Amino acid sequence: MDELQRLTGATVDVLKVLFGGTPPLWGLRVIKDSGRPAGTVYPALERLEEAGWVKSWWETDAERSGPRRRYYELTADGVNAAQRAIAKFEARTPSAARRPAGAQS
Amino acid sequence: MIASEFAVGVAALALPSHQRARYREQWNADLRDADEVGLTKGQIVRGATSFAFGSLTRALLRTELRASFSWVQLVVIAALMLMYVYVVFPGDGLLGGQKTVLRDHLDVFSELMNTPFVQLSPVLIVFLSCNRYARELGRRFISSTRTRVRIESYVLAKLIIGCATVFTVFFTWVLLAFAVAFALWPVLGNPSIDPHGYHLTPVTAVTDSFSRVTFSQLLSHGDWTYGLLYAAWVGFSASVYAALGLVLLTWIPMRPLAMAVPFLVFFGETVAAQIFGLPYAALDRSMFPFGMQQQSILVGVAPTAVLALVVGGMWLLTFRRLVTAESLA
Repeated sequence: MDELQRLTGATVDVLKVLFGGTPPLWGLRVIKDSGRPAGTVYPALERLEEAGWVKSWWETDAERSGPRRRYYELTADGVNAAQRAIAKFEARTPSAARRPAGAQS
Repeated sequence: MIASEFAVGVAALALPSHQRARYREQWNADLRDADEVGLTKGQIVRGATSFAFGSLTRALLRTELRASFSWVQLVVIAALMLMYVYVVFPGDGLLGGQKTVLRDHLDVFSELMNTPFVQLSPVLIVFLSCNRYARELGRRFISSTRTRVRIESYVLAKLIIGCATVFTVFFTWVLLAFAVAFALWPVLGNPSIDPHGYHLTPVTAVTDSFSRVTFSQLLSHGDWTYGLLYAAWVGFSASVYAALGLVLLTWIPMRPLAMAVPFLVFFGETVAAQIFGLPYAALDRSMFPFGMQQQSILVGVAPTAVLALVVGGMWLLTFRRLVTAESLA
């Protein structure tokens, strides 16, 4: 698993949703629960997946026809890394500047 | 296929080829289920577009922007901007107030726009937008760059910079003419304007201008509304010819021919429209409608809009098959 080159507030919000939500979470749910725009969440998930923090897979719901949802989940290593990253980010960021995940932008 | 599905399909084309199918399906599922979580389809489309085109790095666009201009091009742009001097100044022009009698500022604007350059505009468009790409294809520069930069990103950067350049140049050119006619002319004392020569008063000349040429309907919403929207239309039209030149350069091995085609399309279709007695269907009149009876705005934009759709389709096919383009191999 790779270290993230940069840790932004948006990435931390995505991590919080993945960490606190009930897995598996599909991409649209991450967008909604993080309160971040889709244009921020898609790249964040892509970076996290590339770094090995997150894994994704297609849904296997046979009852739903058409395009499949993509589900996301923290990997075992990603859980520990996410905990550290969230703690590190919150320690260095004044509480007033933090935004709770789910806050609308 | 609904518009939002089409939009995310286009966005997916900007991604690396191994990611396209995955994100196309994921975004289509997101579009289908957006209502379920209270998001709009527009949010998904914006997110997909932002993500896909974000894969073009800013650095690549900056590099392209810096490298895309030469002194020759800047001189040509300056000459274009100064073309009005030829029309305006005494001896040959409107400021003399002797040779031409005009109704109002729209007539001044028409005079400034109705130059022989209009027929040659695709040549300048291609020169400004395609020159560097053509040279790089000739030197096989792209083949060696490809190892470091994703080819889709590289070609998309060319398309964006080329279209943005000609949009900016032509938008500015038209807006400058508009500012001369509608802002500078009154300051100069409205030389050459005499509506009484047309049995009009200054007031009736204004209402008459609303129905004079295609797009002048917009004058009823304010002078600058017309000026800005018409300048944007000319800029967009110029971008279409730039996009046509760039896509043809990608596929036609004979680069001079590829660069000539936008002009041939512009000129050939215009001649054909005249032969068939359909002047309003001519591409030159769609871009520069001065001197022709007013048509509805829809009719006015139609020829260029059709061409834009064709060129858009060519680019979609190009991005699907870019890795097979021999010119980039």
